Amino acid sequence: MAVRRVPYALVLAGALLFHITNENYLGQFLLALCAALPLLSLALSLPGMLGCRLTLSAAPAALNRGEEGRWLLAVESPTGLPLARLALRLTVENLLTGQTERRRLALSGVARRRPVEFAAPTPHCGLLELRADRLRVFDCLGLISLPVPRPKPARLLCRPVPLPTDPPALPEGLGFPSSGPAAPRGPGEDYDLRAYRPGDPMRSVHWKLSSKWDQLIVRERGASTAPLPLLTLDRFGGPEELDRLLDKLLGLSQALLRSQRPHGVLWLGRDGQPQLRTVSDWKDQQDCLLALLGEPAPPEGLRLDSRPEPLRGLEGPVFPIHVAAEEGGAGHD
Amino acid sequence: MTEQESRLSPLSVLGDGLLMVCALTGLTGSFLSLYGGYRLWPAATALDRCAARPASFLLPAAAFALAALAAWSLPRLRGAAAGGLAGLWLTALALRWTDAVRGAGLTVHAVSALFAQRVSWGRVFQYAPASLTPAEELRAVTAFLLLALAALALALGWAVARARRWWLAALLTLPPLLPGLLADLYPSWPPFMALCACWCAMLLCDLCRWSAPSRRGALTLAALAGSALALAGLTSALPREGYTRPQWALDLEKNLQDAAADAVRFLSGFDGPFLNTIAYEGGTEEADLASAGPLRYTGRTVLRVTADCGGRLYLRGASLAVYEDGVWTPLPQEAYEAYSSPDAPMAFPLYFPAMGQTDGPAYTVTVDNVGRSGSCVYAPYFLTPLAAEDGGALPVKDSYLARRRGQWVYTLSFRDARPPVRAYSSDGTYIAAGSRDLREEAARRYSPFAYEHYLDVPEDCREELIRLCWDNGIYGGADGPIETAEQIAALLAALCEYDQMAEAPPRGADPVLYFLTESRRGYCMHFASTAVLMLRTLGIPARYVGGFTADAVPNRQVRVPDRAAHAWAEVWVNGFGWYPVEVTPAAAFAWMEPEAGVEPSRLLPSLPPEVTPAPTSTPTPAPSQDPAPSRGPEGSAPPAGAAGGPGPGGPNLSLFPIAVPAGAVLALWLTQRLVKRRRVRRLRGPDPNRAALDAYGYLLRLKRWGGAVDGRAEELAQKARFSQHTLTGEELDQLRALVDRERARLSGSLPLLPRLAFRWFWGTPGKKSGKSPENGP
Repeated sequence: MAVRRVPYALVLAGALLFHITNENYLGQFLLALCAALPLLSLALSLPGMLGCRLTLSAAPAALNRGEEGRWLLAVESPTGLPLARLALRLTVENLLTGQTERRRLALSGVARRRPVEFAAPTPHCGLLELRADRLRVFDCLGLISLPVPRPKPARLLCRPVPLPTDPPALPEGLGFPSSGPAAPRGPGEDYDLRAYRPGDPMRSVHWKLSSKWDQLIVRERGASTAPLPLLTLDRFGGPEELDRLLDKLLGLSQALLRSQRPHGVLWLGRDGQPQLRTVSDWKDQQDCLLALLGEPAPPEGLRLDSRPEPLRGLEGPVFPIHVAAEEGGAGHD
Repeated sequence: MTEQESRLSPLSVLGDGLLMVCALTGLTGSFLSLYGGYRLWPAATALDRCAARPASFLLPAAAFALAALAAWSLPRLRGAAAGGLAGLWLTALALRWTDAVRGAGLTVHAVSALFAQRVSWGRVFQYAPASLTPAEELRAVTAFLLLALAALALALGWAVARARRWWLAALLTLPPLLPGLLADLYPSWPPFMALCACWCAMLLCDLCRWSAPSRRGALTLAALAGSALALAGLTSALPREGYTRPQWALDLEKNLQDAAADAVRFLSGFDGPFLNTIAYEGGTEEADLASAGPLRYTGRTVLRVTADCGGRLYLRGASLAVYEDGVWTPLPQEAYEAYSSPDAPMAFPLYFPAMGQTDGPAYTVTVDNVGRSGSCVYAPYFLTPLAAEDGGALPVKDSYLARRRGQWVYTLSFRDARPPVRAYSSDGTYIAAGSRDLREEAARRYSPFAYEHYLDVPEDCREELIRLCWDNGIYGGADGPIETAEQIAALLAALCEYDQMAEAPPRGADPVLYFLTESRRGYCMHFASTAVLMLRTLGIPARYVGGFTADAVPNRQVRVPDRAAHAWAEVWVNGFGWYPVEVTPAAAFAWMEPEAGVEPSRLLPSLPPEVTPAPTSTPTPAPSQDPAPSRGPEGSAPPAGAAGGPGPGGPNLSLFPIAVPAGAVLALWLTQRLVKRRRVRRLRGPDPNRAALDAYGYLLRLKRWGGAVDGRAEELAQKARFSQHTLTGEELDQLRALVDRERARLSGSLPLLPRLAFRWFWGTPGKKSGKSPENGP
């Protein structure tokens, strides 16, 4: 904080010069006062400086792209006096696109009562993470600083804006009938679901669906299976391209959920391995979004159609629907 | 935190109120004690009488402070409230206009007179109202002080409650005290500490000035209490009584001044671009007794002297001839024109004593002016003719040797030419032993000039001086001038006491008469001036000389400190020339100590007594006795000042090489901060149209650096200027972005030096770093 230290050094030098060139008692007193002021400042500030803690949070924790979010910085200080100055560096990173924004921040007169708020821009979807480092808290004169422990990062999920889409046209008999319960299925699953009948082994009970549908559901191997809608996407590209892609994906997924059709979402991860999420309800969809948005998406990457292995590895019938950022990109492969 | 809440926070209001009361009552008490406790005149001034009843001012000061604070702390309509107070103030001013003007004149006059009395280079603000009774003076000064306090309270209220800037408060409250503090006066300590506590508390709260009001109020109270405790602790730990400056400070000051002198010496070694011209510097100084106060020295070295003889050397600077209003000045140029022409220039009188003298030893002295003091050459007496020109100096009129610019070391030769005592004819003409035709001829030609110009005495002094001489049996006449001078020196030593801490005479009093008849305390300036005037009243031409004394050790360099600055008298001896006479008592030389390694007895003049070119003195100054420094900052007459030594409270010129660059750097930094701050305020002001126009103006100013104005910026500026609609935030942001872009472009494209200048004054974006929690970052 040179803007405070340099003037103080000049004033101290001036007081010293005045003292050594002046026989007056006032010269000595002024020099002593200049030397004592930082100590007095430290005595006033030290309890607050030592107990200073910073907490980061986001409000709300999740929102749609383009909506206004707020980052909150809450400062805790054990004393009732305001902290003279808190300097820190904030880093906001979009974990999906890798976009990073750093800014230095100096908060003067921070009190415990109200958190400091500032806007979280959400031009692109992704999982935003706010980190704070290089934290220093200063005394009243701004001459002496102490480090402050780093707070835990805060995260804000910026969801895509679902593109209004009708449910895709599926082949006859695909999936569960609309009156029956929808069964989660995925690649490699070779069973069907049906209601529990006395005599069924307990290990065949699908407990998760049973609790959800409020009746016992069992898996039945060897039963005839219907193909599962599988939304595939190439998860790479620029931020705008990813936005369009995810908007479409979310629109399709919501359309399928609204028509009570469980589906899968498949993409290639950063290491080239297929990532599969089954979406049978809104919570699954949220988890799927977190997985999709929380990993970096490279500008360039492998396309799914250049690696047919993941699809070949799927056991059981699926009905792949490829989602692309371009117009009309969603279609049956 | 809303604005209303901020106004209603009791802690905040309490803290601001305490600050205001401390500042204004502290200032009032300090001012009255600083300037009111001194008797500037035989009768006490109105300011003195005001200081005798401080409660009459302290209570109104507290009331003004609280009223101003109340006005500025109102949640709304505070401008109207402050305006109302200002209106009341104007009304009071109109009603008491005459008294206020008279009081202002009397107060400023008293303060400036006190300052001038304490500091030699002060100028007194003259104010001479029509004759006023003491009661009228008191009423006028009281009215002025109360009106000034009310105005100050209004401004201070804004600084404390609204701007919350400690430096604004200091700027408002410090200047009235500065003259007194600079003149080494002490204010009453409790009110001064209250004022200091206010400054310290505001400084400590400066970073938190925009935090939540209740928090700020708590911090203000804590800072005020802490400051008061700290100041009380410092006062008790560092008592004022018996204070003496520590030795380390003295040593450090001496080293600093020596370093500054070396720097000046180094810098002045360059003659500039006109190497073929020889420029001389001369003494056009004066010796001001009227403002000569106590002497102070640092012990720094002024001269380094090497001579091939021993004993006390009197190194003269310039002589002064005209005494008026307590100030010695040189003769005007017109005085010389009648005695000098291109065909027959006036001979330099300092050569007269050694003219035509070829017998006896000649001596050499080298004077190195390491202190860069004065503008003339400090030369010994009885110079060998043309010795000065050989050494590079230039005789000027009959007064001094001018120093060549940039030359500080001079080697000069001189002879033993002291006239034996009582070797005069009946008319006072020196009877030389042997043939001295050349000298006598030159002295004879100069003598009328000496008698015409070196006998003037102010009429108001003449009667008293003659009476004093005659009452003590000093008549001049048959006694030679040197003997008469010795008698006068003895008389002065008997009448007056040497005191280097003698105060300046009261304003309007003649310094010589005051010294001779009232204070009877003084130093070399007073003794020399009085002796010169007394000699003149007896018809003996005499003049005032300033210079240094040095106890020379043969073939060894000796250090001449600033304490060795001195003043003495020169008397005209017919047929011989000007002869120096020591008229200051021996006590003046008590500070001198023998050079290390040299026995005191060796310091006695190793030359035969008649060879030692020292002034004749009644109390013959023993080598272990000391010269007293004379003073006068610009005067060669008071060489301490001429030597750059610290006069009594005068400016220390030798610190200029350090102070000037430091001041320039500070001024540059302050300018940059102010410019940046102003720009930030303009570009981020509350009125979008105004901010847009300022941003556009900024872009236009960037054109001189090669900047370009974008068409969109012009369009937005026109909209801001002529449209009835206010610019939207987006448009303003767009304009700001254009400004930032252009500034960044220029900053990267300019050459190195222009780029530095541009970035210093123009390139800083000027974003506010600190944000209040209420506003967010």
